[in-house]
Amino acid sequence: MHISDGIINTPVCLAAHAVAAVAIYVSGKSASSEEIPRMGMTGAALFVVSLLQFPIAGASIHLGLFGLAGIILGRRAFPVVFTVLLIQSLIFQYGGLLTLGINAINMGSGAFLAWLIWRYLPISVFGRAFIAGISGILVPALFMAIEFRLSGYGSGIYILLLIYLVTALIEGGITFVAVNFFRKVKPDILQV
Amino acid sequence: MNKFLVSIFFLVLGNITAVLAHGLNIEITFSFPSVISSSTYSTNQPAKNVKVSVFSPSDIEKPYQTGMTDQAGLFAFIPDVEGNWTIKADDGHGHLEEVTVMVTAGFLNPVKEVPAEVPAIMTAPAESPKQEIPTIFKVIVGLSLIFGATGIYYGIRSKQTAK
Repeated sequence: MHISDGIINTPVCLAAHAVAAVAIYVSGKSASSEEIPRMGMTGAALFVVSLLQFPIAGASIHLGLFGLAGIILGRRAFPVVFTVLLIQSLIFQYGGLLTLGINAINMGSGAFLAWLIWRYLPISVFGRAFIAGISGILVPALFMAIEFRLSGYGSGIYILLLIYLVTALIEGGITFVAVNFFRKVKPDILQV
Repeated sequence: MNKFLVSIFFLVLGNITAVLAHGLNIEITFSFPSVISSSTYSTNQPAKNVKVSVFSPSDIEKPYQTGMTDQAGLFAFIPDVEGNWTIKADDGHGHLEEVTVMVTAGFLNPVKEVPAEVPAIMTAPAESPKQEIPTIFKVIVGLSLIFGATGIYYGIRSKQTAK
């Protein structure tokens, strides 16, 4: 999911940094004192969950839970995703600092779209949770595949979506269970 | 008659050649525990089968060791006391070379050689494998950064709200 340095050309990376900076400012400004601890806890959860790797179909995948982050944080998810990606890049060398902006846009877009689905899709709560969880992974994967394609990779790169589809289904289930849990114990944590 | 004269000629010539070659030189080298004499003629040919007599400083009358040089002109002996040792070489043709060498106590009792197993402190440090930080430590650092950033952001927002 993380795009490493050297794949996307530098001007595009710098432009992505600029876009990410604007997105961080817009989505993070005027966060209330009640939202900030929730952002911190969600960021810590994303950070830890991303380290849990599973072997599937000969590939190693890990969870992202960007959909759940979007449901919990709404538009505040973007600066959280950016911070988590920055720390992952510095400590675990996931992705790269040059592509940090692009990675943040990809995954932050997944969280943002999940929030939109969660908030506006006129279906049942659990249907929205499941689809939001799926989109939280599939949207970043689709963006990543398109960016690889534009960087000169063959159309076979879209096969990656099949691998991420498995991850997305797992995340949809986890998001479904998590939303069900939060609705029972702390409903106000969900961005309705 | 002619054959006899030719034989005499070559016999004399051979002796002259032998005499010309009989300038003996002795070079001494020390190779613990042996002292090695290398006898050569002035033509740099090895002095083969030359009788060598070695005299100890403790008894200059009676040879400590006698023998013959080998095909390379070498002769070796092991001294047992320090002092001036005399080595005499006689090629049997009336030419004698004599040298005196000083055998020191340091040669007889050299410092013990370094054992085969070199102490670890003297060994060159092997290229240490890259120390990989355990994942749990990385996770702790990452979480600390996240919570730290959260705290800083919280503090900033609280100040702004208070104003």
